[in-house]
Order: sequence, then C-alpha cells, then structure tokens
Amino acid sequence: MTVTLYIQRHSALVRFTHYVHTVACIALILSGLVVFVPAIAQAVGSGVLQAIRIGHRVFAVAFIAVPLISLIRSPKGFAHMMKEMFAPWDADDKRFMRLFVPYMFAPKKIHMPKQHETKSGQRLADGMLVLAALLISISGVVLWAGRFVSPQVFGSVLIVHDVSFVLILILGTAHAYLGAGVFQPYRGSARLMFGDGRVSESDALYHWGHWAEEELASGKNVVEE
Amino acid sequence: MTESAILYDSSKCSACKGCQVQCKQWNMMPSSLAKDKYEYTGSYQSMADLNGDTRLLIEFREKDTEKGIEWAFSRRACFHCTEPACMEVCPVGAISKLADGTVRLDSTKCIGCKYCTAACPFGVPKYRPNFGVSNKCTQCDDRVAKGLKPACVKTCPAAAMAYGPRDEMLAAGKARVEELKTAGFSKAELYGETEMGGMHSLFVAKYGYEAHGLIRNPKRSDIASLFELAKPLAGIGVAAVLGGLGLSFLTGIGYKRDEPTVESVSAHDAAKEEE
Repeated sequence: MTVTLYIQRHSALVRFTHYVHTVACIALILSGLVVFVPAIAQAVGSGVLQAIRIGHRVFAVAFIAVPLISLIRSPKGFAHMMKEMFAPWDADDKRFMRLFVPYMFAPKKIHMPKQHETKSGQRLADGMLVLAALLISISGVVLWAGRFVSPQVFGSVLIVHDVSFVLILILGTAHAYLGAGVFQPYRGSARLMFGDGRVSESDALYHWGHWAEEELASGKNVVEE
Repeated sequence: MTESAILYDSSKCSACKGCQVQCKQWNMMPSSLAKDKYEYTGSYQSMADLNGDTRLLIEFREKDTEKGIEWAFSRRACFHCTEPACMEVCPVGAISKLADGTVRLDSTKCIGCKYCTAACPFGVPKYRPNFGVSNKCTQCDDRVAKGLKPACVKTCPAAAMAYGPRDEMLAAGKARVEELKTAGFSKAELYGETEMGGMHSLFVAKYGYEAHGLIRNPKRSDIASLFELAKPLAGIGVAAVLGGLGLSFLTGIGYKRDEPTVESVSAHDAAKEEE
C-alpha cells in the first residue's frame, strides 16, 4: 500500500472561520450588489429588497463576529497570522512577486521560487483583503447606525463602504480562483480550507518549499495517509 | 405639461408657521415636539432642522440692528431641483420627477438607505425611523393632481406663498425683487432660477441669499459624483479581473505540473547550486 505524507496546515478553528466567512462574504456581495446596482433593486421590488437588506445585516453580523470569536479563542493563532503577514521579504519572496504575473499566464514555462509558510503574494493579497474587510465592517456598522451620524459623515462612510466592496469583489475573485484550485497548478488547494486542512507532501513542496522542508524535517505536523 | 413652482416671498412672511402646521395636517405627520420636552433656545424656530416627521420648517435668523431686532425668515423644504441629486443616487427608483417638475419621493418604494440625504446639497430628505423610510416635501402632488394648491400655499395668511406655472412665478419673483430693491433692500435676490438646473420652489430673499441661509451656487454633493464614478469603475475592474483570470485559466489547460518530492527538490537544488 502506498503511503502519502501530509502536513496539517490549518486547524479546525481556522477552517471553520474561513468557511463561515466565505458563506457570509458571498451572501454579502450578492445582497450588496442588489443595492449597488439600482437596476437590480428596481427589478426585485421594495418588499424583496427589504428582506435582502435584513439578510445583508444578518450575514454582516456573522462576517464580523466569527473572526472576533476566533481571535478570542486563539489569540496565538491570530498573532502567528499577523507575524507571517508582516514578515520581512527575502530574495525568494521578491522573485516570487516578479514572476507571479507571467506565471499566471504561462505556468508550464515559469518555475516559482520556494516560499515560506505564507507566500509573498499571499501576504500582499491577504493583507489587502483583511484591510478591505476591516474597512467594510467598520463603515457598515456606521451606516447601520446612520440615524445617529450627520449626512456628511454618512456620505463619506458610504464611499468607504463602496470602495471596500469593489476591492473585496476584485481581490475575492482572484482569491477564489487560486484558493479553490481553478488555476491548474493550484488544483487540490480547496482541501486546505474546505476539507481536513491537510496538504500533501508534493503540494506543500510545490507551493511553500521552505516551509514544507521545515515541517517534513521536524515531523511535528506530518501525518501519513 | 407646464412646469409649476411655489414662490415664497420672505419679505411678506410673518413666520406664523401656519404652513408648517398645514403641511403636517395634510400629510398626516405627527409633531416631533413633545410638550415641555425641549428647553427654550432663545429662538422662535420650532426645531433646529427638518426631520422625518417635518417636511417644511420656517427658520428664524435674528439680527440686532439700530432699528431693533430684524428677522430673516426662510422656508426650508425641498427645492424640487431640475437636476435632483437625490433621484440620481436612489437605488430603488423611489424618487422620481413629475412632468410639472415636482421631485416626488414614493415612500412605498423607499428602503430607507439614506443615500438621498447624503447626496442632497441641502440635506433635505430626512430619515423617518418609525417607518424606516426617507421623507420630504412632495409639493402636495396629490392635491395638485386634483387641481388644488399645495397645503402650505393654501393656508398662508400673509400671501407669502404662491403656486402656479413656473415662468409666471419666476416673473413675479423677479418683479418683487425689483420692488424690494426700490424700497431700499439692495441685497434682495431671487433664489432658484438657475440653481441646480432651476428649482421648482423659488425664494425671494429679502436680505440676500446668505442672510436667509441659502447656499450660493449649490453643487451636487461629492457623493453623487463619486457614485457615478464608482459603479463603472467597479464594473471595469471586475471585468478586467475576470478577463485576466479567464485567460490565465485557458493558458493552463492541459498542463499537469510535476509532483515534487523531498528527494527531487534536493536534487534540483544541488543541480542549481552546481550551475
């Protein structure tokens, strides 16, 4: 029987948080689009629209509350994530970024350098996604409490909310393309967040070479299947 | 259909607030002032600004002069702009422009998003919390449809308000301004002829725009302009990303990458070092 080595990359808490966030994010984008594009709002009618707006707020609560609960449950995990996100870039990180765009269009020809636990591009994209999520959450809370703020504040916050929405829409689409493994070299990546959180030895070596070597050498999170 | 307008003459207004009361009565808006709830502020003005239950407010601006106290009264309500920023940003089409120029807010369609309040340069539409909708003057379009005058105009005992074809109201307003100037009120001006594309609520400002709290050269609020910009930009951004990712997907079709192992990676690293 062939034994394949796997590395446990994500905990159940991380996967649960990501899962809830994915569902909430999709629901928020769809319900937000209805208000963002007047033609859709007018087509569905005011009764349905009110229901969609209430739904938008329910999912917004999940979008904000679940990561906060996860942070409280695992402050060390959050600190680790932040440390990774702001880790200094080495030569391989810089080279990765230089090659990333050509690689997206010619994965057969371009070989990417080894990466640490979080790829440099991942750090950049995730950082922007986290920032946009923070902005959209804060501005959303202010809009919800709109009757207590002046029209000027309301208008400015609305712009922040809309810009963050556009940012999340664009970054989220790219994130899903890679994360869900639609891009050929990333096939199987969905298991990391929507499966058991394990990555095979070969996938880990391909995507996060430096990290995989360290993990395989230590054996701490390595499991056999 | 001929465009109509209300003409308010601040020089005739006695600030009796009859229009305020009549507006509330006709439109079934409750008073937002509870008895003895508010402290006297030193002004005879009812409340600081329009609110969800108040579509029309007579404002009092007081000035100490040699002759004693002088008041500059103002009728604060929707101006019914020809280019209404509120209508442009309304996501549900609850705000529409009628053939006579009235800017109408349909509360059965309104979802209470408050975008109109943020976009209006005058901050006129106000949120009505109990109903979850925005509220503003509709120039009594229901009365007008039956051949009646707006409730505020009908009730004004000082004849400070008139309603009729816009060109006639404009002519009357201009003539009144000339009269006031002749009488020594050199700053008298007519507001609403060209502002925001031309308004359907004109204002004879006896002491000039500023004295009556009117915005000179009002402009669409930045939010309305940004809204117009944000939507096509979002569309272009998303289309570009989807196009780019689609192309990326197509170039990857048929490619199956290597399955590296620790050994193959070490061998590769060694070969690279030798190079």
